[in-house]
Amino acid sequence: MVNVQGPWSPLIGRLSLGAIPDNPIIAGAFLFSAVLGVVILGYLTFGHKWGYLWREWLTTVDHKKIGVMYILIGLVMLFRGFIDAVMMRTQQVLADGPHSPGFLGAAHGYLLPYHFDQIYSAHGTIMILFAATPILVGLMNIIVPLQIGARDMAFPYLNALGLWLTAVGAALIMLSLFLGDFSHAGWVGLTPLTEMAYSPGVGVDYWIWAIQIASVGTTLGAANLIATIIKMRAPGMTWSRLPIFTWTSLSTNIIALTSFPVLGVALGLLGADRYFGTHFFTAGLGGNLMLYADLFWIWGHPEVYFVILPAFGMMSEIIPTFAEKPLFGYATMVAASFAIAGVSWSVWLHHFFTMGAGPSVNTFFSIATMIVGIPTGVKVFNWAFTVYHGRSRFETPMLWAVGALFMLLLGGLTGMMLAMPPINYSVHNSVFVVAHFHTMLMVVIYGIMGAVAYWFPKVFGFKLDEPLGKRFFWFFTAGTIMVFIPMYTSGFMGMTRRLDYIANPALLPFEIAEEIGIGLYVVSVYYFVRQLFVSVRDRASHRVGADAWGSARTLEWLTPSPVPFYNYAVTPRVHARDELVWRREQGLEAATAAHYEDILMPKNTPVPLVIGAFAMTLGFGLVWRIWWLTDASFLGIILTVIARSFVRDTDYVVRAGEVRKIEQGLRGNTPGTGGDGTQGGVGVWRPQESGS
Amino acid sequence: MAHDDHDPLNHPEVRVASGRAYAAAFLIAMALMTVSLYVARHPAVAPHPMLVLSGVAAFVVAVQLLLLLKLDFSSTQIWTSVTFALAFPLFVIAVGLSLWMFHSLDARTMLMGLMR
Ligand code: HEM
Ligand SMILES: [Cu+2]
Repeated sequence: MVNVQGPWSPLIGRLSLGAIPDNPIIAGAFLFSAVLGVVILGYLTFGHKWGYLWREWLTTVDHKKIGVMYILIGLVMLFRGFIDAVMMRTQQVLADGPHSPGFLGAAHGYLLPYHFDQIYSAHGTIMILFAATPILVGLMNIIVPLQIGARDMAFPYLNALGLWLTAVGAALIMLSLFLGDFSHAGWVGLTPLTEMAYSPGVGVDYWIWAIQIASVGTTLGAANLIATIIKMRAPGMTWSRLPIFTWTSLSTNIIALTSFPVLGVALGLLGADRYFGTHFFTAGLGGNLMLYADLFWIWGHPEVYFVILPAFGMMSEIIPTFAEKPLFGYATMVAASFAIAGVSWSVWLHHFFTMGAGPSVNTFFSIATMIVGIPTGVKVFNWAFTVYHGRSRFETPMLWAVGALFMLLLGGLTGMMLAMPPINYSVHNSVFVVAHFHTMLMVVIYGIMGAVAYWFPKVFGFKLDEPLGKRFFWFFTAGTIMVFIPMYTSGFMGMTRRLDYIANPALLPFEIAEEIGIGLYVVSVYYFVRQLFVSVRDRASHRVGADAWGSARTLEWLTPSPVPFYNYAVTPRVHARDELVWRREQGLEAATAAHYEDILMPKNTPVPLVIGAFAMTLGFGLVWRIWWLTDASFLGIILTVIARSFVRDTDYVVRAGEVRKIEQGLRGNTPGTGGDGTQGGVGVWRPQESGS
Repeated sequence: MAHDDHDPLNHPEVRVASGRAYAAAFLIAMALMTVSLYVARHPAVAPHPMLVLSGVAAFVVAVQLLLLLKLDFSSTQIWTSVTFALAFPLFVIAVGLSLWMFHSLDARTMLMGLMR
């Protein structure tokens, strides 16, 4: 074991009162979270909601609820990452030029470099791994089984486990705000800055374990989704009829399954350096710091495609629905998804062209990177031809999908510029790169926002408010333009990234423009929250039937909205690629089953939550080096897994009569009826654990 | 339980387990290890010791894949086999291109000097 700086005791490891930061901003954040926490706890206790929370959410194995919880975690982290962004923009606009003022003890701006560095590290880590990734995993969780006509995922229990491990990662990052500090080495973990000699605190350890634990969850989820798509398709759902979103989910999860282990190895070796005193990535003593960059980006580049492919899938579902035309070029769309996934494996070196490899190496990776543009271009043209001669309706999901197209164009073209080593040498590590990948990640965010608006009625039975949704979109778009166009420009002017102080006063106008942009984002967040609030409040008047948009095409729109816990009362038989269109043409879209059968459903289980709790104490013990706690938690996980393997009674039966009752109640769900979580007097969210 | 008809021990993936195959895998691996140890200690016995060692290593891998992991084309194992086959090119890309890059880096930077 490595000797750590500062006090250490066997009982509480490195913990001490000094670990609690005394910073007014963090104190404010703590107050905010504490008040929020008390309000939520109070509501649960006095509203007698604990039992409901436990039964319906904490112990659930229902893929839709797990998906909803993934998305909730993602949205909370998106908000946290957004606050980080506001703080960074404000620091940079304040700290521009030698005469800029200083507040709160900072020479310029209001944040000390030590604090600023943690903020951008947390922002990047959170946004990619704890906001975008969980929301996408959540959406795939909800939609894929519905699209292929399955009752649930292939492994419902594993699904819940993945969720709780992701939650643990997010919780560790949030904890680092109030106890100790977070890594200051960037979201990529710049070596050798992450080594013990340069980062002796707990920050890097928080970063390592949050990612390590959550990525176990993501890997399990990927295996689960792949198995589900391969094995759980309804009869007639052949490969050539698979909806595009499911295809992109398959390709994206193949990326996840093959690339996340590399991240695990990279972080594991870094952990060995920090805990056992090895020298994998140190400068000297046999270490090779570039090996870390290599391993990180072997995962890192596939990861960026992991986040964008599902967004492509969402756009491919939304655009045909609102253009009221079949998707143009189905086969090429599938081929392009897999081409992108395949090529994404051989381009990672474009993240360090400037490292010093020879011209043939750089040329190889430059060409490989630009080849990605071909399948991406195919997709863009397919979407364009889908809209061409269609009857496009610009409801909010469509706005987001079309917005994503523009972002893709801008981000893709700047990516092509970066892919050329001569250009890259002049803008690498500048904010031009930051603007590039934010434009790309905007494709993901736009896709996500479109998908949430698009599938929300399927899951909850009512639509999100349209006028507020449109305002949200337009303010968000205005913010995107105001922040990132000036950022591209200042990147060209030579502004490097991750600056807590900007020496060149000529950059001030761009910083001011970006500050205005982030203000527009703040307004858009207000409209988003307001939209959620208003939609839930007025849900009775926003009710929808099975096909919420009147022009949906794929299988999932066949189920009642909201989807009952068993998805399909009778496993559907699939006849066409756009099954709902086929049924509509045959006049069958409202047909119900003639008779119902018993349904076998997985039982709720608290085991994944228990394992998650042990993983949390394990991570905490590792960060603070409390060895008895790590040993006990690890033992706890192993014993829980063993104990669970003896539980045979994992399913229950929903009787046919009960299914009929629920279905009849649900089919009566027309706009304007119903109120709270019940439909036609039947609680759709409630697994009826009878008859076992 | 009425519907408790899925004893884990009846799963086809579990059924492929076979003590005889495991023992055979172990014995073959031991034998090949002895051979490679002997070649490593007495390189003169083989014309190209590195080639012989690599060949033996490949053979061990094949034995373990077939006898321990049961990667074959039966309906229960086919997806596992396919997964392995797909992982192979990825491995070649990741490791091969990395080696190429570090080789190029070595010639042009002082990085490797740092390592000593
Ligand atoms: C047409 C496809 C794309 C091309 C040609 C491309 C090219 C590049 C290049 C060459 C860099 C390295 C810039 C540098 O550091 O000097 C880069 C950075 C980056 N790109 Fe892309 N990219 C593409 C698509 C994407 C997508 C789809 C995403 C994510 C959704 C993305 C996210 C990123 C990120 C996160 C970074 C930099 C991360 C960092 O250094 O912190 N890119 N891109
Ligand atoms: Cu990349």
